[in-house]
Amino acid sequence: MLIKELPALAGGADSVVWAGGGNQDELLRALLPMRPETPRRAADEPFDPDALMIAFVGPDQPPDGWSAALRGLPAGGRLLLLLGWPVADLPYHLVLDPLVGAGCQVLQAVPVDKANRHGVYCAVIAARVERLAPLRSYLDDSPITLDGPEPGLPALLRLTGEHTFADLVVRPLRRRLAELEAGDRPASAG
Amino acid sequence: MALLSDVEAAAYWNERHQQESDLRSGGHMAFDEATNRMFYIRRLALLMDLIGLQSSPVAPLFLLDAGCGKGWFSRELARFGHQVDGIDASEVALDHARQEGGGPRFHRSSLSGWRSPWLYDAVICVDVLFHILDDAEWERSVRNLASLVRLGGRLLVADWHEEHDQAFGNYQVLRGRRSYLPLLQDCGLRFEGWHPYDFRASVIGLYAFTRR
Ligand SMILES: C[S@@+](CC[C@H](N)C(=O)[O-])C[C@H]1O[C@@H](n2cnc3c(N)ncnc32)[C@H](O)[C@@H]1O
Repeated sequence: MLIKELPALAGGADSVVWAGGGNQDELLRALLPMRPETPRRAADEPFDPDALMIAFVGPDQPPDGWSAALRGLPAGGRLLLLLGWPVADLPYHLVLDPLVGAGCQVLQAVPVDKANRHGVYCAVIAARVERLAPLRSYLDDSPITLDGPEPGLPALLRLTGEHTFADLVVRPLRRRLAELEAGDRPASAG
Repeated sequence: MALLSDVEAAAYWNERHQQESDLRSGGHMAFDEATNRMFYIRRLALLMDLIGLQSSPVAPLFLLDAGCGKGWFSRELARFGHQVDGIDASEVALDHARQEGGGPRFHRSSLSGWRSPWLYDAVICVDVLFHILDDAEWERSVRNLASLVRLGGRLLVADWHEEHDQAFGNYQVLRGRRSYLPLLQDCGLRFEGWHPYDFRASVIGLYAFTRR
């Protein structure tokens, strides 16, 4: 996914609320190259339902700036988080905790191509919800919707089942990867 | 006309893959190589519409090409950046596919027999199911392919869009909506539509199902 495809994926951005991190001007130019005049609102103003909250979180950023702004997100409010870690090393615990704590559903997590020069490797689209929003497929690039049909019990049973089995079968792989990485490391001197 | 037995059908595919040119052997025998090339590209474009136009080399889509033959679709989808497993019953076809390389992993397996610790974002099955002549094996195959589709993933299977099933010659049984829709609903998949190949006189198209 390209960085400029993200605002549409997040359901549009009539105005943006910068919630912290990164170089705001540079990232907004990359996100909205055709609409540099998109109105910006302060995080402490009342949140417009058509606004998109955006933040950058990366290795050199204090983790809590954006999460304070997140608590001001009303139900239905959407957030685009740009992440400054390569997908394979993504410390997603840093973003999952604040998102869940603020009542947000992670709707989509996508790799971002060719945005390394902005320090962006992947992105998450989330929204504050009062009931579950429709589930999405990986790399689905149609705009997110919050008011579609709530996932039913079969989908939730499938979700928990897939999670449980995937959690089991990924363990030997994670172990194998650790072994391979240990094998790659030069033997310590002495 | 009596349908081929399992053994005869397996021999038929090995021989056809051995004797026929790259695209004719898995494509349409009535067309020459050039026309088959158009036919393949037309179907690839349809698959692109249904699988989507996004790809990521870092975190790819995982696809199963079930009944991959010599692997043309597997290779093209791998060239888009997707991670593809191709399975087929014909060793001759797989030898050819492996020689071509190009990214996919190829395995000898029937559709009903493929086992995997991973689920797929999309399972595609292009012009294979109507060559499975035995109804019970056809149902086992469809059920197994459906079970490999992850939540939000897609199953794309080629067949005709009539209500009923009908045998053609001794090596094709086309199956229709009355066979696919209830079976795949029972497997937890939602029918999204049928997309005709729209190629010359072909009556075949792709049934698209999503796991929701
Ligand atoms: C018409 S070709 C299509 C090949 C490929 N999908 C393509 O479009 O190029 C049909 C293929 O299905 C394979 N096949 C038939 N029955 C099968 C089964 N039960 N399990 C796996 N492969 C099967 C044959 O070996 C043959 O390669």
